[in-house]
Amino acid sequence: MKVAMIILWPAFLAAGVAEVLFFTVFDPSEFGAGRMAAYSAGFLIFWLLAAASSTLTCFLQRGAEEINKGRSG
Amino acid sequence: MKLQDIPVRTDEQSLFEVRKKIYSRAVHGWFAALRWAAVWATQLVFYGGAWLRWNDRQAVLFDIVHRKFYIFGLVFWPQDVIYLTALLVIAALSLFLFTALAGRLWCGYACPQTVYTEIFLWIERVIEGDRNARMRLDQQSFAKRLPLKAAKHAAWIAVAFWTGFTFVGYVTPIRELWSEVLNLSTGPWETFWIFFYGFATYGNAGWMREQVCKYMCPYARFQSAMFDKDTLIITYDEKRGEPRGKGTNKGDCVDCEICVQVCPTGIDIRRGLQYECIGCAACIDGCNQVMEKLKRPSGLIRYSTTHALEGSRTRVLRPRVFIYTAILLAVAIVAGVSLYLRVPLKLDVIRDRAAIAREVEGGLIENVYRLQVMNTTEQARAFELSVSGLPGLELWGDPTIGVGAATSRMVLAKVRLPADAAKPGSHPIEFHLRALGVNGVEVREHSVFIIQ
Ligand code: SF4
Ligand code: SF4
Repeated sequence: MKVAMIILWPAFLAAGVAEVLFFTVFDPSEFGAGRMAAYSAGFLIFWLLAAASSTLTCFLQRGAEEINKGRSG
Repeated sequence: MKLQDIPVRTDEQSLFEVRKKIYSRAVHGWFAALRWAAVWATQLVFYGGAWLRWNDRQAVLFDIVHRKFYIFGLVFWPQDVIYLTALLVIAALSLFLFTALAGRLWCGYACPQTVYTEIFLWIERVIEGDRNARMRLDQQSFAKRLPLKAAKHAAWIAVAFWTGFTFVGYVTPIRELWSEVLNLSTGPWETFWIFFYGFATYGNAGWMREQVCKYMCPYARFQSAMFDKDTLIITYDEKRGEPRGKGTNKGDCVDCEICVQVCPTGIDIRRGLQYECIGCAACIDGCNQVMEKLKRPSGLIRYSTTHALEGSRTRVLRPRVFIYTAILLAVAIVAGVSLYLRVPLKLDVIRDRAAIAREVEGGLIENVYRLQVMNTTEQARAFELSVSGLPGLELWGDPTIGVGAATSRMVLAKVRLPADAAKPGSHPIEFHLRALGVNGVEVREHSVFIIQ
């Protein structure tokens, strides 16, 4: 639960920033679909990417003990 | 223990530590009243603000679909993103200033996390009873718990839904949204965001609560950097309270643990300032009630500063306060003045790349430009275009351009010059756009005129 929290939440913040920056420069109507859809899809994609990065951080942060334990057991 | 002395935990296990459910006890008192006043104030603004009208439109609307932000009399366009930046800087600096002066005022009284938790706790208390009743309830069998729990979650979900709806109502016009909700005909993405935000509210205020402050909030982690010994914080007066306990030869603290029971983050303030403390002052109210019953002076736990507790003088006006205030004022004034002086008209000149320069009848050279004219006021206006920079340069066609309220329009401008008026090459020229019937609303924009 807490792991999910610390992955999703910072990713959410980062996605928010990315969304604002990206759509100040690009007009969402340039992407075919409706603007609301473009904004939403854009946000979700940013969130997904940022969450992937956070997940990787969490994954790499595991200590040696934890990784070894996983292998033997 | 000082905040700085708390060891940083680096072991991964802490990620998985099991959370003990906190049953915080209801508390009454001066600060509880203040907190409720803050709940009312912020939520009146949030829930009510979306329904206000201004100039026949929603007063506050972040119309992302049309890329225009309305805040009462002001309209912001994507080009105005600098004001958003200024607003963020102002918000951050105010947070620094308040934190340096009086600790986590924001967390204690205004943060949505605190406010919604407060509302959800209140619902919980009304339905399930106070701390002891809730603890007993949770011991009972599932069947016995069910009715009360179901009622509580239904009430929570209702509040959460309304919150999600209001949130989306700031992005798409709320009145239309409301009739769509009544007809169950909201667009797919609107539906998604209403439920998304509603679910986040329900989860954060109903389930996660203090965990959000403890594990998710970046501010909680760095606020201590803005603290010093003159910062107003929630403190336990150790000199007066210790040794704690009942009986003679003891300090004023009777070790009743009321301060721990009322704490929404479940900490013991008597252990000193801790990063988990959100400065809600519930423990002050709680302890004051105890002191009152015991006929002892109140304020064993109180707002104070480290310096005051040590017996030295507290300085309110110190360098960091001056610096934060000075930068804050500077940014606010610059932003305010530029907002005030903002010309409600924008002009973008784009040279038409397809046709660079051509000769037209009468020995004239013609250049074609695409002009984007943006009228940022809420009245339709007519503008007059002129061009200057070369002798004999003139605009071909009707120089008046009408633009509707808060819209932008693309127009073609043909500019002609006698062929012998200038040498081949590119020459700087200037477009000048002036609102008709209003003084001072004009813009100039540079471009080039090309002769081959
Ligand atoms: S509420 Fe006051 S008296 Fe009771 S334990 Fe806390 S500090 Fe001591
Ligand atoms: S220690 Fe006191 S002020 Fe801090 S969070 Fe707990 S109840 Fe609120």
